[in-house]
Amino acid sequence: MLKKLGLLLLYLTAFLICLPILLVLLGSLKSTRELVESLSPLLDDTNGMVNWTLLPLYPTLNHFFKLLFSTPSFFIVFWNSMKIVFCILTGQMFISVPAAWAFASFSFPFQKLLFTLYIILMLMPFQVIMLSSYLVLDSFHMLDTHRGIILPAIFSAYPVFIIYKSFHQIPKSLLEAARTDGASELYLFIHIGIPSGSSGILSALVLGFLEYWSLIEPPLAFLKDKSLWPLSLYLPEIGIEQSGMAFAASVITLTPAIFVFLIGQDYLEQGIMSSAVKE
Amino acid sequence: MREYLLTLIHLWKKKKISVLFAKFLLFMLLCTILSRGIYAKGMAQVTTGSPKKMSISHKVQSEGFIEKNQEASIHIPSGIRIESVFVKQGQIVENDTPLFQIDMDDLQEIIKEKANEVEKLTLQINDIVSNQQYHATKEAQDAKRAAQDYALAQASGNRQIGEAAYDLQRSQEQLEQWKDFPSYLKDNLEHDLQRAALTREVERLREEINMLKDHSQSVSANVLDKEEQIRKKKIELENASKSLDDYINSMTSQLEKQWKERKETLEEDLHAKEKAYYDTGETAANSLLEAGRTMEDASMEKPSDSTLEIYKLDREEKTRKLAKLKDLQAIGGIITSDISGFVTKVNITPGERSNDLGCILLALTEESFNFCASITKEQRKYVNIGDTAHIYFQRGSHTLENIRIERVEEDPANPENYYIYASVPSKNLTIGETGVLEIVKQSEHYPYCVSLEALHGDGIHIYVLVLHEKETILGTELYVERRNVKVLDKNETYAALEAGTITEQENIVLTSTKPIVGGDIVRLFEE
Repeated sequence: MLKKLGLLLLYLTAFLICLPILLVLLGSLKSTRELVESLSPLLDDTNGMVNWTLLPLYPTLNHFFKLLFSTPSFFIVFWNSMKIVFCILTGQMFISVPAAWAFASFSFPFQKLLFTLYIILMLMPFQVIMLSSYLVLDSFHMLDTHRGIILPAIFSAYPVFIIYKSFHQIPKSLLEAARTDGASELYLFIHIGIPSGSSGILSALVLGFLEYWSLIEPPLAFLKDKSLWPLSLYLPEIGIEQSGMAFAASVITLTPAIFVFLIGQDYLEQGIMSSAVKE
Repeated sequence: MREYLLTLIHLWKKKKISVLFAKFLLFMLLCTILSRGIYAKGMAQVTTGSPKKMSISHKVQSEGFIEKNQEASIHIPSGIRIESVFVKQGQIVENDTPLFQIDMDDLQEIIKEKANEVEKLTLQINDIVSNQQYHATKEAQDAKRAAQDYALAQASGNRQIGEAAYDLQRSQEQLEQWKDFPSYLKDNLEHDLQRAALTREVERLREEINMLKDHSQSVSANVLDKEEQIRKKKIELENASKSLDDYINSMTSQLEKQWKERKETLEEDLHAKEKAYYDTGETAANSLLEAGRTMEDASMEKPSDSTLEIYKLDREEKTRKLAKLKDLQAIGGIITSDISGFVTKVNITPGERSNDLGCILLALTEESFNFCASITKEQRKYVNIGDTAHIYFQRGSHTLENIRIERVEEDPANPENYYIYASVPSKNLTIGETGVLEIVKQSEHYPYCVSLEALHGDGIHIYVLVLHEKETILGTELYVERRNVKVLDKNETYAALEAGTITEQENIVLTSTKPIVGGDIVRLFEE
């Protein structure tokens, strides 16, 4: 009985957590008139409360058709987001993975201090470093370009932290044995480190995708040209008359993240579990 | 084994999801291209142009026809019966061509009638002349008599006034000379006998008393008798005095009454004389005034009477008409043309009488013709007398250039239309021939002229759509901005706009493949 009650509670919680997604999905199928009537107290400054019905009265795919076939600006921002995320993740593979291996495998002076600094930087919110970042990017003439978003993210400390955990779990004796057998550090990194730490790497990639797919603050601060905007800045531009399109755009925006999560779910779980398991 | 199979299934699912994700991305790529194509297809394509500095030419074209310029009328006095007509409308006639014949018998009757009328007028004129002479003589006489009456009235008036003045003066003198009452009383009493007698009596008695008193003192005999006598005398004296006083009092009151009456009589007389004087003056003045007015009336200019002149003029006119009728009689009643021309109208019919309109109207063929064309009120703004025009004739394919516009008249039947007339040489042209008249007018130079297709209207304002650039997510896009303008002048192709609303550098939308409004995204037209 208790078990069933526990299950019920879990399902309820899961439903509540999934409710926003459900609302977005169902909202994308509502007609414009329904949406305007429901959301006008919120978006149009009229009196009253938002009156939201769960199921649409006149479901329609018109918003999807309009968004996918008559709104080329949406695809501009979609591919902007894709470009930014892909470039960041690729860059992080080349920067963060070796950095994490170095922290996990080597001993060098001020290692702990540097790692602590990494953690502090990771914990620092964007608002704190925004002004300094702006000045640095301006000096490098990278403002109002995608480079100004991608490069700082490539050198993010967070994936280093995630991947370090997986590299740290590789037994040192294995590495020593390999060194004794004549393996070079590069060999160790490529043939032992990366395969062994693949779960951490992939979880860092998944988490990185989810984070940078919805990145909003750096683009808002550093991008003025609308043709460079990612999806996260495009959605707020849509007004109440196009609220149906906003919901459809939200669904489309959500889809790659769902795909990536489904593909990398196992690796994410493994990555989380491996950090919890004590040797 | 089981774990191996689970692993395979797991990997297969992962692969399927990955393939699905790849397909999703491929689908998005496809939609990217499709949406751009559809977006571009739905966007209006426009052609643009910049405002130019130019003048607006106004071409007025209108079809017209040749009409007669000068027209002559062959006419005879009205009221004569027509016997026969020899020509028809449209016929060309030469000099001395017989046109029509009038009825000679009817003409004879009319001549007799006219002669009688002339005679009647002559007699009436003579009567009027005689009356005028009579009235002139009588008026002179009246004037003379009025002058004489005036002089008499003046003399009589003066005389009467003089007499009245003399009477008044006399009356005034009498009143002035009329003494005051004490003097009047004294005079009358002085001459009054009874008073005098009473006074003497009183004095006598006093003297007697005095004598008695004196005598009584000197003689001592009978004093008592003397005193008694004195006493009696005193009593008599008192009585006499009393009688005298009574008499004087009664005389006084009587005389006073007489004096007052007399004075009143004199005053009344004076008033009467004054009144008579003023009345006489007024009467004399009125008489003089009346006489003067009568004299003025007699000498006043009489109102004009044109009856005689009217009759004389009537007689002259009738005499002229009679002369014309006699001329017609002399030529046997056959009316001929004295010019060469084109019969444009025949207003007479055999058997009917001639009227005041011309019997036959001839268009002169030796002079120029008129070209008449109709234009609208809108075109009238660009056509003025003195403008030069070209006229193109289809028949013969010839053109007349630099023809001057002679007249512009409003169509009485339709105020929205006007007729323009130009004088054209009659050579190679016939009446009724059609052609096209063209006038080209250049306006002043306007700095901002656009093609007419750039103008749009919403019923209230006229506006143009100006092309601008803006930065959007898709990059630099073109959009149109509505700009209200004021049109200063325009023709069929261009319009001149008021300065201040557009600039030379701006691009104005001329044509569009779709209807567009301000704010719409557009792109430039591609072949």
